[in-house]
Amino acid sequence: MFSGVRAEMSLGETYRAFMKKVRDRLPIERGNYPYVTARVKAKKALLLPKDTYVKLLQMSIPQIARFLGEGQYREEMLALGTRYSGVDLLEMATRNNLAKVFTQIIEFSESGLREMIARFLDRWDVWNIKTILRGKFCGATEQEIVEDIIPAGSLSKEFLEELVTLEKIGDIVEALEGTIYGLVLIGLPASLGDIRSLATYEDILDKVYYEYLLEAVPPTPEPSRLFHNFVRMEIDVINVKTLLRVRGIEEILERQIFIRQGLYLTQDELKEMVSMEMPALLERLSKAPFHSALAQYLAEAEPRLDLGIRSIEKWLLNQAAKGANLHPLSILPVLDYIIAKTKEVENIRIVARGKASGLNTDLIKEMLVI
Amino acid sequence: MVLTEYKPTRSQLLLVRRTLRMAERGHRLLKLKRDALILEFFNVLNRAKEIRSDIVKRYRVAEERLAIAASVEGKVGVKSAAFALLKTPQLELSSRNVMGIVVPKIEAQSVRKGIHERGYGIIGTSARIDDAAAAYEELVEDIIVAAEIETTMRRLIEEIEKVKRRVNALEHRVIPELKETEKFIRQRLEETERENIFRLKRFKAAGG
Repeated sequence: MFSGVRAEMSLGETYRAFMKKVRDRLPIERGNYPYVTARVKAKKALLLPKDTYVKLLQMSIPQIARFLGEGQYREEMLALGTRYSGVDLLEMATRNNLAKVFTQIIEFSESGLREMIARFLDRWDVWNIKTILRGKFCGATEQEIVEDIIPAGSLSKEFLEELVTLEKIGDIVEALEGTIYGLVLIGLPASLGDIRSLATYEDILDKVYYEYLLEAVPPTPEPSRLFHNFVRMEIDVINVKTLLRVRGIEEILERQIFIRQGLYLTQDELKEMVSMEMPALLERLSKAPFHSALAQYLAEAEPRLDLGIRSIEKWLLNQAAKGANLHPLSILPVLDYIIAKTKEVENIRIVARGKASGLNTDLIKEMLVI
Repeated sequence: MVLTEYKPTRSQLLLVRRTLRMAERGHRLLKLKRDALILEFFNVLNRAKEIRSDIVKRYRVAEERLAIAASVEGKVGVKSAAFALLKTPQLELSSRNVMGIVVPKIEAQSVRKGIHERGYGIIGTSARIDDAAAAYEELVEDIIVAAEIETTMRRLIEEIEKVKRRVNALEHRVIPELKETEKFIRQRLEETERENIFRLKRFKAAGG
């Protein structure tokens, strides 16, 4: 009798596993792709065109605020206009809008698609947790930390704000119990004063996010495969950016600074490249599709690292746009929009903060990823 | 006038003459020292001017990089990256001798750091923070050099002032006074000698 139940259970499990396998192998697209991609395309049309940034650069901060207040950021500008002004208003309004839009996308997507988008947007959870920890570590006020939070991931705004009010790191870790981040932070000392550095934990949080993201989304069927490949390309870009920053510092290899499962470069290859001179490194990267984007700035006698990094970021942006055009009914248009929207908010912040700090217009233009 | 301090004797005259010679030699040497110190001061001044303008330039660059980092990473990101620093710069103070003046020698350690020594996460931060941190490290290095040079300059100014006061005192007070004293003693001795000769002549005439 007992063994019969076990046999039944195992049969059920086998059936479920079999069905999962079938679903994964067959090109069954789980999720409301046509609806979501149509909504996202409509949203993408609202993004600022490239030439608008040139206009923004000629404007003063109040003029930029007014210009943005007349477009898609109107609601946030009006809501925050009484509490903030100047650059802070611009930054807060664009961030709140970003969080709102991303939450909307999760809300109107369904099934497997929703799962993938939510996992992808969990990067904001990582950002928020890091912001809270950093803020606590450096003694920022609760208000300052809350202002830097972008509730665009799975963790709700209320939950994040509750985390900010907790005084002990131990309490924050306890509140995050059950999430992947809780596991990462479990080694942190409970008291703030005992923390020597957050660097290792910050790096692990980022790595765990990407590893969990790839694990959660199987590499088949087709939409998942496209998503998988895009995330792996993003990992490559992050790893190359890290590589360029730590080049020549072999001591850094004691820390695990490269994320696993890049599409073109393995962790071992990246580790080898840390000690290479720039020409040898570029030679080694010659097979990667982003090589030309990097080489135009790094092959010079005096490599322009900042421009190289910006160029590779642009390359990823273009890859997302290209993928979205090639696969209009896949997850790629959504990812393309998410990345483009994030870049738009970052670009607005760069223009606003750059102008407020009196930076040269050409320099601000150089920093924009458009 | 210090003439009353001296008795008009031959030994006193010799003593005054010796003192005068020494004062004149001292005056000459102090003048040489003053000129050399002024020369050294101008050298240090040029270096101080250079380092000052370097500091101004580097400060502008550092401010610009910080503004860039703040625009890319946000205020909290930059602030927490700054607080993440594990090794604070260590300063070692020693002294060296420049023409008899003790000036400080400042040696700094752990000012310029590698990205792995700055204490912040690498994957989640951007190269803009590295640039801002590197710019401020260079600025701090320059400030330490400037502190050394400017302290040397201040000590040189103090020493030049001191030497100048001594030279002036010797030139306008001590040497003229000694010359006056020497003249006074010499004249008194000559006077005494003349008196003696006259006295002897009177004795001779009276005896003759």
